[in-house]
Amino acid sequence: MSAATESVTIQQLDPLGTLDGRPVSVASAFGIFALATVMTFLHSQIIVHLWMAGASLMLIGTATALMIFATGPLRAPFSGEMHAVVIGLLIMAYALSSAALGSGGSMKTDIWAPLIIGIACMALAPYRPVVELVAAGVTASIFVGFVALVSYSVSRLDAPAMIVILAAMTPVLTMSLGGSAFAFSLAKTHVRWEFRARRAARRQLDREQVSVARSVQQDRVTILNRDVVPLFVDITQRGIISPDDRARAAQYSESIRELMVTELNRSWLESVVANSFGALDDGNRVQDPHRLAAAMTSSQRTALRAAVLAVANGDELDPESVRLVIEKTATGATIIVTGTVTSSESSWRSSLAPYLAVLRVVFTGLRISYRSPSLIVRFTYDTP
Amino acid sequence: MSIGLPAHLRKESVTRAFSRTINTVSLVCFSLALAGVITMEAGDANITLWPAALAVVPMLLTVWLVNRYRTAFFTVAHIVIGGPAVYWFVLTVASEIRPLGGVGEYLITLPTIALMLIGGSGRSVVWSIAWCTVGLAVAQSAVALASWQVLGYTAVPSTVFAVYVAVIVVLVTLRLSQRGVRRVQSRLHRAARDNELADLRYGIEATSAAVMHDTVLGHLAAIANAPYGAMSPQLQREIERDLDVLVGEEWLSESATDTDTGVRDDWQNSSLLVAISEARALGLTVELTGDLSALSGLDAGGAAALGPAVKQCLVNVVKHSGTMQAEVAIFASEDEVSVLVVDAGKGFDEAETGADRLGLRQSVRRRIEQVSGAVQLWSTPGLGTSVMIRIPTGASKQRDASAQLAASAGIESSIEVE
Repeated sequence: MSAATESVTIQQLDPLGTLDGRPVSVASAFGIFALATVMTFLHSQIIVHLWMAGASLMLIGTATALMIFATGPLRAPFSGEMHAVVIGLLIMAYALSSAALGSGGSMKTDIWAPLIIGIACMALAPYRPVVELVAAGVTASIFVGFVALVSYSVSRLDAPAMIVILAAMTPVLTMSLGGSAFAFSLAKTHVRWEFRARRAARRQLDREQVSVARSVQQDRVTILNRDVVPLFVDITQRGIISPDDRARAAQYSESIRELMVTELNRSWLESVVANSFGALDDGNRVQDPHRLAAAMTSSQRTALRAAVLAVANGDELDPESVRLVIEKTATGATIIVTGTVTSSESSWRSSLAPYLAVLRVVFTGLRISYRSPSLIVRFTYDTP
Repeated sequence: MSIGLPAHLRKESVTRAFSRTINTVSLVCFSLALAGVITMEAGDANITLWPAALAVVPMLLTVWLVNRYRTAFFTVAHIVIGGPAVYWFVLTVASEIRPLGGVGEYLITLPTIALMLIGGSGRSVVWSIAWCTVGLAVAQSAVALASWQVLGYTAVPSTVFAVYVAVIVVLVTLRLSQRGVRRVQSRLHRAARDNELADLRYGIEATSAAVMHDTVLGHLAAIANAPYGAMSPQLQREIERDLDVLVGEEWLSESATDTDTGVRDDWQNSSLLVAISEARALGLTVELTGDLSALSGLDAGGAAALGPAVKQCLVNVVKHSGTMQAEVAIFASEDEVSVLVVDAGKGFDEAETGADRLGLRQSVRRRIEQVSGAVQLWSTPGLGTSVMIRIPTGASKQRDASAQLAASAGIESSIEVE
C-alpha cells in the first residue's frame, strides 16, 4: 500500500466523482433511518425501556442528518471529526437499542443496529482516507462486540458468547473493510492515472516546446521589426548617431520597457480572466496588490481557471459584475469573488455546485454569502 | 495537475473498486465463518465442525484468485468449487448443531452470502448481476439440498436474498450516478492542460524577456546616451550581433530545447568568464576568486543562465553603485554552485527600486529561478551591495530526477501488482 493512496480521500482526488456518487450516501442515510424506525416499530412489543429506544432513534436520526449535511458539495471536505461523530452516535444508538430490550434481546433482534453502523461505514468510504476507514471500522467492531457481550450477559441467549459477539461484529467488519477496499482501489487507480497522465503531458510539452518558443519569438520579432530593427540597421549602416537616433532609441526603449513591465506584472490569473471574459474585460477585474496569485498550487490554479471560465461562459452571473480580490492574511491569502446573479437561486447553485465542490477541496475555508442578487464566494490558501 | 479521473476511465475504475469491495466482504465472511466453526468446535467437545472449516479453505483460495485476476474463469471456478463447499459446510453444521437455531443460521448464512457476492466482481454491471444471480442460485441450492438432506426441510437463509437485492441496487445506482458531471470534468482537464501550456509559455517568455533586456534594451539605452557623431566600434559590433541573434536565428527554440543535464567540462569557456570579460571591457575592475573549476558542475541550462545574470549584476555596479570595482567569488558544494557579486558602492534599498527597473527582477532573479536557482540580495545604502546567486549542480538535478523516477517506479510496481 503506498502512502499516497493511504492518506488521501477519494473526495480530494476526485471531487466531481464523489459528487456524482453522493446520491448513494444520501440514500444510505435515509435507508439507515428507515431501517432503524421499522425495526424499532417491529420490536415495540418486546422493548422494555421505551425512552431508550426513542433516544436510540434520535441519535440515529442525528447521525444520518449529519451524514447528509456534511457530505454536501457546498460543505466539503467531510472531516475526520464528523466521521468519528457519526460512527460514535451510531454506536451509542446501538448500545441504547440493545439496552432498551432489557434481557429480551436475541441474535436476531440485535442485528439491525450493527447493520446500520456497517452501512454508514461503507457510505462514508469516499470521504475519508483508507487508514482512517480501516481504523474506524475495526474500532467500531470492537465497541459493537463489547456491547453485544454486555447484552449477552444480561439476556437468556442459548448461544456461545463468542458467536454472539462475532454475529454482532459481522456487518460492521464486512462493510467497513469493504468500504475501505473501495476507497483504496479508487485511490490507487487515480494515483496510477495521474502518474501516467503526468508523464504523457511532460512528453507532449517537450514536443510543443519548440513551437511555443517560435511563437514567443515571433511576437518579439514582430515588435522589434516595426521600429527597433530599422533603427539598428540604419545606424549600423551609417555608423553615426544623430540627435534623432538618440530620441528614437529613448522612445523605443521606453515603450519596450513598459511592455515588458506590464507582462512581468501580469499574473496568470489576470491572463486567465482577460482571456475568459474577452472583450468584456476591463483589465481591473483582478485586484492582487501583493502578487499572491503566483503562490497557488497547480491544482488550485486548475480549479480556479475552470471556475472562471465557467462563470465567464455561463449565464448565471452578470459577466460585467464579476470581480476577484486577493488579500494577504497572516498565513496566506484570501480570494474574494463577487458577482451579481442573474438566474434563480436553484439554477446557479446547481450549475456552479461542481465547481464549488472542487474549489472547496483544493482551497480551504470556502464560504458562500448570497443575498439576492449579490453573490460572494471566499476561500483561502497558504502561501510560502 | 488535473483533478479527478476522466469520464472514460471512471466507469471501469468504479466497477473495479466495487469488485474489490465485494471480494473483501466475501473474504471477511469466509474468515468469520471459519472463526465461528473453530469457536464452536473449541467450545463444545460433543460437536465436530472441523470438516466445515475444511470446506471454507478452498473458497478462501478461490476468492483470493478472483480478487487477484478478476476473470470469468476464476469466477466460474469459484462458483463450481464454492457450490459443493457450501453444501459440505451446511451438511456439517446442520448435522452437528441441533436445533439449528440462531447460531446455525448465522454460520450457514456467512459462506452463502460470500458465494453469492463473488459474482459482483464482474467486469460490467450486467455481468456482475448475472454472476451474482448464478452465485445466489448455486449457493441457495446447495443450502437447500444439504438442509433438506439432514433436517428434512430446506433452511434457506432469507438474509442472502436481502443482500442480493442490496448489491443489485448499489451496482445500478453506481452505474447511473456516473453521468452527471462529465462536462465539468472535461473542463477541469482542459484547464489543467492550459495551465501546463501557460507555465511553458511563461518560462520561455521569461527567457525571452531576459535576453531582450540584456541586448536590445541595453543597446537602445547606449544609443540614447551616446554622444552625437561616430558610433563606437564596440557598440556597432554589439548591435550587429543583436540583429543577427534576434532576427536571424531561432534563439528561443535553441534555448528551450537545451535541456542537457550533463556536467560541463569546458568551464574555461563558460558564460561567466565571458560576462566578466565584457564587464571589464566596460571599465570595471573585477576581482575573481574561488574555485573556477566548480563551474563545470553546472548543467547546460545553469551555465547558460549564470553568465548573463552575473553580467547584469556587474552592469548594475557600473550604472548605479558609484564605484568601478567589484568582486566575484565562486563557492561550490556537491549540490550547488554559488556566485557572490560584491561591490563597495553606495548601495540601495530594493523596496524603493522603481517598478519599471527590470535588470535585477528580469535578468537576474527570474532568469536564475527558471533554472531552479535562487537569488539573495543584501544592500545597505552607503555600505555596498552583495548579490548571491545559487544554482543546483547537474549532479544534484540528476539525483532529484532519479529520486522522482524511483518514486514513480514504486508507484508503477505497485500498480503492476494491482
